[in-house]
Amino acid sequence: MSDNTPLRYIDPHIHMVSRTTDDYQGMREAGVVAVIEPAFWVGQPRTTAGTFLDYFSSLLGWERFRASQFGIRHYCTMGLNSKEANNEALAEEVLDLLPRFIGKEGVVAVGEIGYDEITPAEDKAFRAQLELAKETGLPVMIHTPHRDKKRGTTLSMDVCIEHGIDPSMVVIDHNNEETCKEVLDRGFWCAFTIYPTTKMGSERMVKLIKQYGPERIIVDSSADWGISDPLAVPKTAKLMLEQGVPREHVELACYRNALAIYGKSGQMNEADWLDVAQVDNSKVFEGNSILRGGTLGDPRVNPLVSKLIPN
Amino acid sequence: MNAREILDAWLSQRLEAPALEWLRAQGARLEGGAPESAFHLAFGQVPRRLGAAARAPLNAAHEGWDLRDWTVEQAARAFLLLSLPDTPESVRAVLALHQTADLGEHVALVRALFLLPFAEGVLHVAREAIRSNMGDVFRAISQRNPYPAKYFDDIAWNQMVAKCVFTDVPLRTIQGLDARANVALARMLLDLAQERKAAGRPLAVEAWRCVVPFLGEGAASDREGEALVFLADLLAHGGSGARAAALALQNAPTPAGRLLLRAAAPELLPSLEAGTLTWENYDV
Repeated sequence: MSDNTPLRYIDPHIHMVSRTTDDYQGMREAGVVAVIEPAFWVGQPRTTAGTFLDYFSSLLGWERFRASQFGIRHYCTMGLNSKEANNEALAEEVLDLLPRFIGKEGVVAVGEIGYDEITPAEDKAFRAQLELAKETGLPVMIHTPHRDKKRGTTLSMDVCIEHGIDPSMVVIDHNNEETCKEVLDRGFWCAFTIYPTTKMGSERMVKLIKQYGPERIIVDSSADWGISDPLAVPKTAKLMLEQGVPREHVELACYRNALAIYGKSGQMNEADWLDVAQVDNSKVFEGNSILRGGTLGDPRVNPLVSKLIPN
Repeated sequence: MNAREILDAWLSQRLEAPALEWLRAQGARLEGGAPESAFHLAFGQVPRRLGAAARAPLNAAHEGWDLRDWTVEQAARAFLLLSLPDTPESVRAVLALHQTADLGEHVALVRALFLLPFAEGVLHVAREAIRSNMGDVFRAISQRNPYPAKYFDDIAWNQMVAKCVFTDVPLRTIQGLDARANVALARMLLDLAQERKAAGRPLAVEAWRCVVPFLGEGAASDREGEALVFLADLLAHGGSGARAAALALQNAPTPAGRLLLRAAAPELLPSLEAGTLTWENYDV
């Protein structure tokens, strides 16, 4: 393969329910072929289990369909986030819902789970979900806290070990310069969220990958309803290449490592996006027929996967 | 053989032994009245248990079933659905599945509805599929599926056909299209033709198949002239549009429609009379 071939990217942490179709189009144009959408909180605190049920369903149904319109494969993780674990009565009900979703197609991990304020209620929900991951053999995606990050990160790893979960099955996310050495030394996957002004900038990420190399390093955007950048992965990759990071290292951090860890679920394979025609024959049939109708006017959208219903 | 046995026979030729064994074991559990959670778990796990075979086309035929769009995975999921006992609990389980179904589950469920012993009890699933903006789900109910013709009232039926016209989904693959045609649908489609004309956008020519037979009747009876203007225009432009207009006018209930056909498209009359020009091949 020539070094000029555009790289493919996976954004293994992005909340697409909060993003627009412009974002999807931009991501596809920038080379993002697959995304993982972790179940998380939605800004407004939820007050009933029913809203969780519909949220989980939308990650598997509507959002997956929406992504497919733009030629992007959409996977998700299922879990009760740490922040809402503090509503204990509700948390119990939500934990009871999870087995109904965890075995579905395209669920690549239990997540994002972990700590926010590091309360006993968060600890209880975290541990219950680690057991669920162990039972189902799924990887775990861990959200590390904004405040008291170092302690929260160390504690998250300690609790995983205590529950007998192999570090090679766990991604610790939202790392920074202060946390990444311990995460890597203990054998966990080490993800970095590239957020303007808060978590980690692209420049700092370049320095980190130069220092630590690409092994078990993952770059993501965690783009959501706040100020964030759905193109953070391709943008950071571009900067890495410009600043002399070897292409193979960039590919590991921005594509292959995410595929390696989340592929352990058995639910995410490169063939899913490399050969769309083989994914689902009925999709191609339907795509062709839309193409014949000619109502889907956007040339940026791959006609073979476009089945948007124009109302 | 009943539907479940037919599916079992096909699947036994298409699945590896461990996958088939797993599926049959799940089916047996459900038949024996396993808890609802067992059904949800088994239904969700079908793709991962079947492996690469899951997404292959089913390639099977049975009288009265049009399975051309079916995959092996969908047949396996239909097998699980048919393993549920014919009880109110099973209806509730299917409605609960519908509530949390992922995209693949949703399509499989909708395609299999017509096979269920309690098909009428899950009408809600089919009605929601008509309202869905997910193309896969809408097509699963509207295309090659006998459920709508058998269970939909005219409101649901007409919405389905009109939505196909709106979204360029073919009409010829709707089962029972001619049998369920009605004057209210003809009036809706004629209104749509006028809206499209105002917007400068074309209407799918198959729509006239559902309009012309009612031009002498009820709400459409005084609008024959309007319709014939559209049809004359199609005939004048030739090609597949003219062939579609001719096919529609073949069933015109009034002399004016038949006269238009003879005057504007005499060259199409032989193939119409011989039955060689059809709704299956008019655009080939």
